[in-house]
Amino acid sequence: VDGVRATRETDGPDTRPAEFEEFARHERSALVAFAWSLTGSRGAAEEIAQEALVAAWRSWDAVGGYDKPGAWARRVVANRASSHRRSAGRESRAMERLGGAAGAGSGAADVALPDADDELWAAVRLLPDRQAQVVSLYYLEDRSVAETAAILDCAEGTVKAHLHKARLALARSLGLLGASAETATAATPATATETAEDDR
Amino acid sequence: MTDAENASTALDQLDARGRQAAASLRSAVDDLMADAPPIPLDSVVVDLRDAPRRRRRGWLVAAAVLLVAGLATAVLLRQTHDEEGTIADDNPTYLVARSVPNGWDLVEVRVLRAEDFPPVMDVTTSVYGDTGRDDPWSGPLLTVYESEGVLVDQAGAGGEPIEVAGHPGTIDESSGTVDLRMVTEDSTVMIAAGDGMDRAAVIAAAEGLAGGDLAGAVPQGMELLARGPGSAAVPFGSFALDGLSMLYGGSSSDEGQLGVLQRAGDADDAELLRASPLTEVTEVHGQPAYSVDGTLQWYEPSIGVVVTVLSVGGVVDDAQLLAFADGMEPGRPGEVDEIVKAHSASGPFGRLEPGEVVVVEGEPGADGEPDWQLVASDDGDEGFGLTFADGGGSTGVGVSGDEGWGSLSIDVANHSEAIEGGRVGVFGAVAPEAVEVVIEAPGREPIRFEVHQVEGIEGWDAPVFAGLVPVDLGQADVAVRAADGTEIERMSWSPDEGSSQGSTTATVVDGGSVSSDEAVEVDGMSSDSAEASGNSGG
Repeated sequence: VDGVRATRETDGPDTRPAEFEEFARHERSALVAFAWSLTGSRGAAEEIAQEALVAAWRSWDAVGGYDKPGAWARRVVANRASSHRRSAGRESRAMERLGGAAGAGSGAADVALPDADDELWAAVRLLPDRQAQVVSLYYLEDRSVAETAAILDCAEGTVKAHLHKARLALARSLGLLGASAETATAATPATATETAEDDR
Repeated sequence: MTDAENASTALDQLDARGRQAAASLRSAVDDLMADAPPIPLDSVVVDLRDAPRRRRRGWLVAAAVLLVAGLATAVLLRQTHDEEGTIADDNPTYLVARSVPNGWDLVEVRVLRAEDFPPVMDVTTSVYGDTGRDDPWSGPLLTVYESEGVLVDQAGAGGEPIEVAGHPGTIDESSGTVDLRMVTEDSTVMIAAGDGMDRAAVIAAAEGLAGGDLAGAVPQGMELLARGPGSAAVPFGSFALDGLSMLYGGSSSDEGQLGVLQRAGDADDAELLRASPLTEVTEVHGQPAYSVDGTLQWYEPSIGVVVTVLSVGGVVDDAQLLAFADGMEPGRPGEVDEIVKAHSASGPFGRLEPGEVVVVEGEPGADGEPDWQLVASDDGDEGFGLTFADGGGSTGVGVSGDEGWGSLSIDVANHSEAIEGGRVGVFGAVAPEAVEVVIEAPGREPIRFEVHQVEGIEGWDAPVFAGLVPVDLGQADVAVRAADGTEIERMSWSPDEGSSQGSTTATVVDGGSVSSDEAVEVDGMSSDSAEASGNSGG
C-alpha cells in the first residue's frame, strides 16, 4: 500500500487511470452481477456498477490505497441498489399515474437465467435490503462473515443474523421449508444452524 | 426425521440452489459483459467525473420510446415546478377540456419549463423517408435522435459493437429495425433507427451523421420528412419543453386517468409521432391527428400548440379519447391562468401524497422558497421512507426495516448538486435518543445538523436530519450524539458512497432483540476467515 501511495505521490495523477482501469476491468462483471442480484434489472445493475466505479474513481486517491478496493465498491453498489429499490417503487407508482411507461428503463435484454435460478434471485430481492445484500454476497461471491461485514460496514454478528434470517426466508418462499420445521428452526435458530454446519 | 433435521435438509437444498443460481448469474453476466462494447473507461469516467450527478441510464434505441417516455414522465412528476403558480400573459393559450369521461375532474396541473429538465432530455428528432411514395411515412424511415451533453454508459447498449467514423457505437437488429447508436467526443449521442432499411444504409447514414452531412448520406430518394423536438416523437414523451401538463382523473388513480400535454409547436412536430411504426392517422378539430398506444397527438393551429392526450391505465378507449380531444377548446382569457392557480401542485417540490409529511426545509432563497425539503412517508408494505427533494429532483430511500430504528442511516441526494455553492444534500434517520448529527472531515469545520421528530406518521420513532455538505467533502466521520453529549454512534462516510447504515445497532433475531455479538452462528460463514481486516473504508 505504501508503495502504491508513494508511486502516486511521485508520479502524480498519471498513474491513476492505469491502476483504476485495471481495477474497473477486473471488478466490473462482479459488480454488475451483485447489483443485478439486488435489483433484477440489467439496466439498473449496469448503471449502479458504473456509478460505483465512478465513485471509486473520484475517491481513487483513497480507495486505490485500500487493501481491497473491490469491497469498497461493493458497499457502494449495495447502498445504491438499496436506494434504487426504494426509488424504483416510487418511480413505478409515479409512472403509473401518467401511464404506460412503468416498464421504461428495462429495455435491454435482461440477464437470462434458468427459471429455477431466476426464481431464487427473485426471492432474494423480496428480502429486506440488508438480508438481500448479505445472502447475495454469501451465494454469489462465497464471502465470509468477516468479508461481508467489512463490505457492508457492519458487525459480524449483524451479518450472521441477517444471513440466518435470509436463508430461512428463502427456504420458506421457495417451498423448501415445511411449517413444522420452520417453527423448530425459528424457535432455536442456533440449533438449526449448528446442525447445518455439521452437515457441511 | 426431526423438524430440526428437516430444516437442515431444507437449508442444504437452499444452499445448493443458491450456489447454482450464483454460478448461472456469474456466467450470464460474464457473457453479457463479453458481448458488450468495451467501455472507454478513461473517457467515460473522466467525462462523468466532473458532470452533475444525475441519474444515468443506458440509451437503447430499441426501447428509446419507452425509456425516454419513462424518464420524461418521472421528470414531469418530480422535477418540474412552477415557482409562481401562474402562467405569464405572454405564454400561449392552451386547450381546456369541456367534457371529461367518467365524470372525472382536473386533479393536477403543471407548468413545464425546459430549463427544469436535465440535458439528457434535450433531444432533436429528425425523420427521413421516401418522398416518392404517396405516404412517405408508410415506407422506410430513418429516425435520428440527437442530444447534446448526454453521458452514456456504453455497456447499457444491446447489439454488437461497431465503430462509425471513429466513434464507438452499437448496432442492434433484434427488434426488427436497425438501431445504431454512437457517442462522439463531445458526448453527443446520435441514434439512427432504420425502419424498413437495411444495415448498410443505416451505417452509411450514421457515417454521414458523424461527418455532419446526414442529408447527403441517406439513401437516394429519402428526404427529411420532419424535424423537431424529441417531445413530439414519442407517445407523451415530452423531453425538455416549455408547456403545460394537465391530469384528469377520479378519486383514485387506480380508476385510470387522462393526461394532456401542450406545448408550442407546429404541424411537423405533431407528425413526428409517426416515427412510431404503429401510429395511425385520424383527425381532431379538422386537423390530422396521430394515434398510437392510447395516445393522440395533433397540432392546434388556432393557438399554435401541439397537443398530446394520453389514456392512463387503459380505462378510456380510443373512441372516448378522440371524443375528449374533439371536445377541448382554447381557454378563455384568464381561464388557463386560473386553472393553474387552482390546481398546481402545492409547494416548491410538488404535491404531497397521502402519508407524506414535510419534516424540515432549507432556508428560503431569494424567491422565498426553500432550496430543499425533507419528506417522510408511510409507504405501507414498503415500510417508511425519506425523500430529499431539491431543484434537481428527489431522492427517496427506505429508513427502516430489519435494521430497526437503532442505527444511523445517511444518504446523499442524487440530484442536489444543482444547489448553488457546490453542495450536496445529505439526510437520514438516527437513534431515538439522538439530538445532533455532526459530520467531521479533515481540515474542515464540523458540520452540525439538528435532528427533527417526524410528526403525523404512526410508528415512526426515529428523529431525522437533513442539510447540505460540500460535494467535495471527501472521507468524513459522522457522529451521532445524545442530549448529554454521549456519542451514540460514529461511522466513516463519504458523499461518494451514497447511503450508509451504521453498524452498532442491535439486531432483531426471530422476534427478539439480541446484541450483534449474540447473534446466531450461521453455517458456512466462518467469522475468523476475515480477509478484509484492515481494509479501512472497504
